[in-house]
Amino acid sequence: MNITVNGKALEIAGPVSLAVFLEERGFAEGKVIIEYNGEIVAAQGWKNVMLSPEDRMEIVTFVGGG
Amino acid sequence: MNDVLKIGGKELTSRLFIGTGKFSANGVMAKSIAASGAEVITVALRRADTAYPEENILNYIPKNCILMPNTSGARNAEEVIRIARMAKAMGCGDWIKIEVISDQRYLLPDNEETIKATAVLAREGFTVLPYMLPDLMSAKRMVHAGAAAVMPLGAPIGSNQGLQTKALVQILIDEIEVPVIVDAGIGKPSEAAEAMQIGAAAVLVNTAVATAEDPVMMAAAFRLGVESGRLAYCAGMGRVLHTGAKASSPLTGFLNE
Repeated sequence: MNITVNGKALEIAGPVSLAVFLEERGFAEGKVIIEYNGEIVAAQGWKNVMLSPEDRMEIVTFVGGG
Repeated sequence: MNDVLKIGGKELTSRLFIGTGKFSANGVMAKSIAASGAEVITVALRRADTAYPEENILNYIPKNCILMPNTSGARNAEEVIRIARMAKAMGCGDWIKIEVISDQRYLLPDNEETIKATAVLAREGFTVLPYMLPDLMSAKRMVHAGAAAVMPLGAPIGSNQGLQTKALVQILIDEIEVPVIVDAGIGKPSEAAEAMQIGAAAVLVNTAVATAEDPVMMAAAFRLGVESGRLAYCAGMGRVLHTGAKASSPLTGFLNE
């Protein structure tokens, strides 16, 4: 299925939970913040979200800045 | 001297805030933070690289520091609020540096949008520190909206031009009841000292440290500059003679009398 991650189309094999999707890509709790279809999802809720076609996800992190 | 800076319920002993952008390596940044003595550290929020996840910058910032994410990249109040809520979701506290910029040449902040965002985020319980153009009425509105401090620029971001806005910042210091923190433009420790001497509560420095030949040594220099300026402010400056001179040595008992 196709989802949009950080503005780019991405084809993934489903079904898969948000928690597994992030873990497979090396994104641990405490490192990234997830905005899923416009809503922020706290880390403890990642396992409860199953990804669906056309989902939009923002994976953001802290970087150096002034 | 017991000289504590209180912001958002926190007591700070360091009046130097450090930004984490532009460092050549995370290790250099970590050592610079340590040398600066800073207790408040800014970071930015960006899309993560999904192909090559970078190292977590938080591993290089001491856990006892207050993290102050900025909202850089936001062009209006709505975007500020979105970024701030995301930053808070990381669970690193509720401080936020509001930064609204739509002018890409000078990177000057939009005070009007900043006021709107301040009101919303303060209501949501954030400790809001808005980066702003030093304008008295805007600063008053930010305070009314719930800002915990105001952060006027000394000069354009990243310019290292120093305290170009001194007269306007002085007005804020004289008239605004929350701490006034000079953010952006401070390029030398003497300029940080100058800001502190006129009564700024703190200064935020990034580029001047990160782009120095030896960032760690420069961070230590800024620490001394800020402490020096603060002590001078607290000591109360000696008076200035605008004409003539006043001898420092006695005018009696000369050998040729």
